[in-house]
Amino acid sequence: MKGKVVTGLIALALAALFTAVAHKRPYAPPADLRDAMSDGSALADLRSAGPVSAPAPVPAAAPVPVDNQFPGAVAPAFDKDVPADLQRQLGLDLAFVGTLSGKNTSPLHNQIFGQMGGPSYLRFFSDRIKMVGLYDWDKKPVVACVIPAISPAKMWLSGSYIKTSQPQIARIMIVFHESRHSDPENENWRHVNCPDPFRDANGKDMLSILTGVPLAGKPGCDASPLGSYGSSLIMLKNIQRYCTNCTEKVRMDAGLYADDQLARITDSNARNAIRNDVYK
Amino acid sequence: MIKAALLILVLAAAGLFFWRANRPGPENGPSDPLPPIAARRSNAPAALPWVDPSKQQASAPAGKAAGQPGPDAGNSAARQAALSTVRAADTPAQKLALLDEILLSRNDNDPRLDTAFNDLSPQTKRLFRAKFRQLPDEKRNELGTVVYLLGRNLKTEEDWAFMREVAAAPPCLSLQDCSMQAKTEPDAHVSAGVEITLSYPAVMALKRAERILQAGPGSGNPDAAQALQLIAAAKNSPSKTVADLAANIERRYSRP
Repeated sequence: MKGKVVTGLIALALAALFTAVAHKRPYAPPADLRDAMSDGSALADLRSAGPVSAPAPVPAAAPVPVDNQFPGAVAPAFDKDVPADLQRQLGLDLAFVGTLSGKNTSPLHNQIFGQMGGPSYLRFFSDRIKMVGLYDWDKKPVVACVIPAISPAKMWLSGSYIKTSQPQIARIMIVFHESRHSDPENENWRHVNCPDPFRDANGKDMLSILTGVPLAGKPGCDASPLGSYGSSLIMLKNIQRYCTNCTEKVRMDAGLYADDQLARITDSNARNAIRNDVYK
Repeated sequence: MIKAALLILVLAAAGLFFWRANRPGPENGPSDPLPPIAARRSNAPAALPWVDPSKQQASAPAGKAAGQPGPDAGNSAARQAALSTVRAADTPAQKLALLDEILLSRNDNDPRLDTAFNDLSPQTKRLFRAKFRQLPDEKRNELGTVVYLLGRNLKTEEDWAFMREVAAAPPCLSLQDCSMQAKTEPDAHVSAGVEITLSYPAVMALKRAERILQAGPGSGNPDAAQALQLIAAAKNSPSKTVADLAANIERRYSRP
């Protein structure tokens, strides 16, 4: 009898120990960016993306799984090779902009986006961008682009979108700049060549920061207040001036990047229109 | 024999208790990126852009003052939640942990950036400066955020010396690797905004100086002289963006 009791107690103890070990949650990290970067797989993904300059067959779309959680939602489809972290960051950045609210709206903002606020921005994006692909950073160091010749409704993001560290406003500016290129008007708001010479307010040559090459004569400017540079500038400037639920940092960043974009509006009438709209 | 069995039983029970007390939560494993703070506080799913905006809660931003009705009510709740967190996190180590959490989230609209880092203690500022020096140069937004927060707490000569050091720092040459310029074909379109990002920490220091000068010079603004010194240091920056911005600010705010 005594032996049976002892045996039973030992069995009970062993069972309890087994349960504790078997149910302990493994610390399996998700496939996030840092992991991907640490083993180089993110880079490998990028390198295998292939060229995008020639019309290439569009890979099969992989809808964002989280979309199913939100009935009535509008989500872009992602190519299969777009890393989950890239999808997630784009989602978080758009979620951020989707929550913004403002107490006022400038006239040009009203013309381009509608009333200042998240719903307007989300509509602007989702009306234009239906699909997101992965851009080969090694081919050209762009964070994002729209290539209307392939598909005006498709935005290409490179891994740089998450690998480089930028303020959230800067990522948003890039996304909305590229979204504007999706519009058919004015040849997808094609840029014009910067003037030659092209100098800043201090009389110094405007240079490409990536290469140090002067921007004079290069297609990196706009002649309209409504193009990609102008529209993203106006969006950011409205955020800086009118956002009621932004942190001070977001408003400061919005002003910084907006002011930086103004140099790319080279037509004097366009600059005046913007100045009258958001700088007076 | 019975004693041995009882001992094993006690050990097993202790093991079970320890496991239950320390197991990770159902949502966030230790490696999961943090969702927006307001979403986590409300136990709502992380806000996503394709949610019907009318049904969507504020994912992170700060709101109006508490008590105000209207569409920002959720934001006010987020701010209240943020304020309660501020009270809990008031040691230097806790402040640093909070900063790390916000930086990891990549959410620049976390309301705690406005509320949790005011009136930092000298010890906390030292920790933040150490954090700044530990961060890789390529972490431009993180570095700039630390400078931004320290810039809201400028009190001592040590504080200002750090800001001058940041403003005059060597430029970052590319977002991928600050030590080398990108070797690419010229493309005027791709570099938009990059100049600001490459100079972001120094630009944050300059914007703080500008903010101080906006209050006007003279005896009513004891920090104005320090701000002008910072700008003078930035004018000598090897970064064209920083030097130009410093020159512009100086032109606007220097006495004739």
